[in-house]
Amino acid sequence: MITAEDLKKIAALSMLSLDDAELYALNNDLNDIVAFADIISEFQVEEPDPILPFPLDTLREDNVYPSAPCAEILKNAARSEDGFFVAEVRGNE
Amino acid sequence: MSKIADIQKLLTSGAISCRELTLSYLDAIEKQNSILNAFITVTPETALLTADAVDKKLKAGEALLPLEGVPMALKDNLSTAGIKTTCASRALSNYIPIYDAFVWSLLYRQNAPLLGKCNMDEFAMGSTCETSFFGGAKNPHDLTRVAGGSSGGSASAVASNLAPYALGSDTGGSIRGPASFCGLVGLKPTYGTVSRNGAVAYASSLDQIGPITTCIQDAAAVFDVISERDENDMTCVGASEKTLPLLGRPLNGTKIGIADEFFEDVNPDVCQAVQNASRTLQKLGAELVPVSFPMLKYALPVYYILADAEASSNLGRFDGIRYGPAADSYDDINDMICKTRDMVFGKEVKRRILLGTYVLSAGYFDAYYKKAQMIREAMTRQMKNDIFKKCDMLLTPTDPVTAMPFGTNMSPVETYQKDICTVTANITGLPALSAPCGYDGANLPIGMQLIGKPFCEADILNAFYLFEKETDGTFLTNLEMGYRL
Repeated sequence: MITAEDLKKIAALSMLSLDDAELYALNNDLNDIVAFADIISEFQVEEPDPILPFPLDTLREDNVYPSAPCAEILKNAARSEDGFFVAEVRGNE
Repeated sequence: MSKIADIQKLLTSGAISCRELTLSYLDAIEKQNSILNAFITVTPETALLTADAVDKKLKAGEALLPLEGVPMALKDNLSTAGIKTTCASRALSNYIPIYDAFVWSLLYRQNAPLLGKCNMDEFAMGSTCETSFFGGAKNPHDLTRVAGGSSGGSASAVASNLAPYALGSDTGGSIRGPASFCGLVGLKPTYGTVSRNGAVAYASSLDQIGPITTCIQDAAAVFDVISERDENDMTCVGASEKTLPLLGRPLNGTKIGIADEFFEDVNPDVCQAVQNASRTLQKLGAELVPVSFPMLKYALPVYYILADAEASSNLGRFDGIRYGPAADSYDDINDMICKTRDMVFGKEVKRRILLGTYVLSAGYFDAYYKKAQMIREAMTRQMKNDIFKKCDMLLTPTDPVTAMPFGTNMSPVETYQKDICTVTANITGLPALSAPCGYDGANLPIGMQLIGKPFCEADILNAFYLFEKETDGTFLTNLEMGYRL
């Protein structure tokens, strides 16, 4: 059972600022989903050897390639200055 | 029965130029897209530039490459340099990538005119396309119904003949579900066959790109082009053989497994259609083998735990700093990121991020994430050591239901249950193919699915190719809304 307090912590870890109405609705949804997922607890399994999802001989040569153009990358940012992303504008509000 | 081959015949015979052909599709999109909402972005300049290059080649008498000159569309989570790639999200609503997805670069090299970028569920999270920031794509068979998800726009475009074929991505059934709802063919290749480089990641250990087409031959033709090894995706080894030349082999000796678990809680019309199809396959020489897959009951929880865990990590990058809109009013950087993410993500995306964070958190990691990984390995072993010792492929419905009306009131868990037949192939990395096999009482298409052994795309394509031929293409979608071939 995920409590409202638990969900606030999860939201903070998820970097989501949710209002009370959203928290309430999502709390009910998440409890339904977790209850649905709880069936996995009945499955008894010994820890198996991991199956490698892909062969490990596919690594490429460690060559240096040109970097992507900075100006093009910054075009997708909401704020940029002097070739840098702007993470926070001080004195905001 | 190949739209791609028919188009290339028209081009090489000089009956139509590639520019004329491309314009006819663009014209149809302009007329129909406001109704269908299949495309988020239409790309006439790119399409016509490529079409002119094809016409130049044709004039010089040069032979065409396998997909050359055949217009197509891409799901909007595949990066296209200089062309918006929104993932149907507010977070990336104005995002313009600076590089091409590997699959798009392969098609670009084929001179495939890109008609546009197709609608989808936001960040591919959904089974109906209704979570799209731009509104859902409509089903051309019944405009009051969904096209399926998450690659709903790709399926809507192909079923309405606004594009001869399209690429989608499939994390838990996102190619096969829409293909089933829209009466199309959809292939989810073996994990590691098609490069994910440049596909905006949802759940990296499950995502795979594949074709949505009107017939099996076209699915094989597109798969053969996109299944190249890519050194920029270390999980991608490519395909070892071309599938198109292998279509038409007799089915004699092929064992097709039928597991009852996949038919529980399935709409009776769907059950009937798939059972009828199994008899056709039997008539074609296949042997039907009863098998059992009791672990299916764990598939959905395992899928949603793993997919959401990976999504919560993959979507961490959307912070308002590097992409998309950012919150204007905030206290500090943490507050800015939290407010931005609350502003740009839809409800389903938030739900999955929260669940993913929960199952990865210290107190619950072992009970959920680790346990799900262990069951995933056990399921993979059961497929390999049990099911595929008894049969060569597994026949199931693609979806337990047919296309539902927009706004159908379902809880998240009820929505997730729609994916019961498709998620197993993603969890175990196996190839799976959906093809149309009938209609329900409301005349809506029904899809059936073949799950194959790893890297055996040629075998599942061949089986459904023979079915398609035997049934004379009766179940293929041929709605003439766009260009009439």
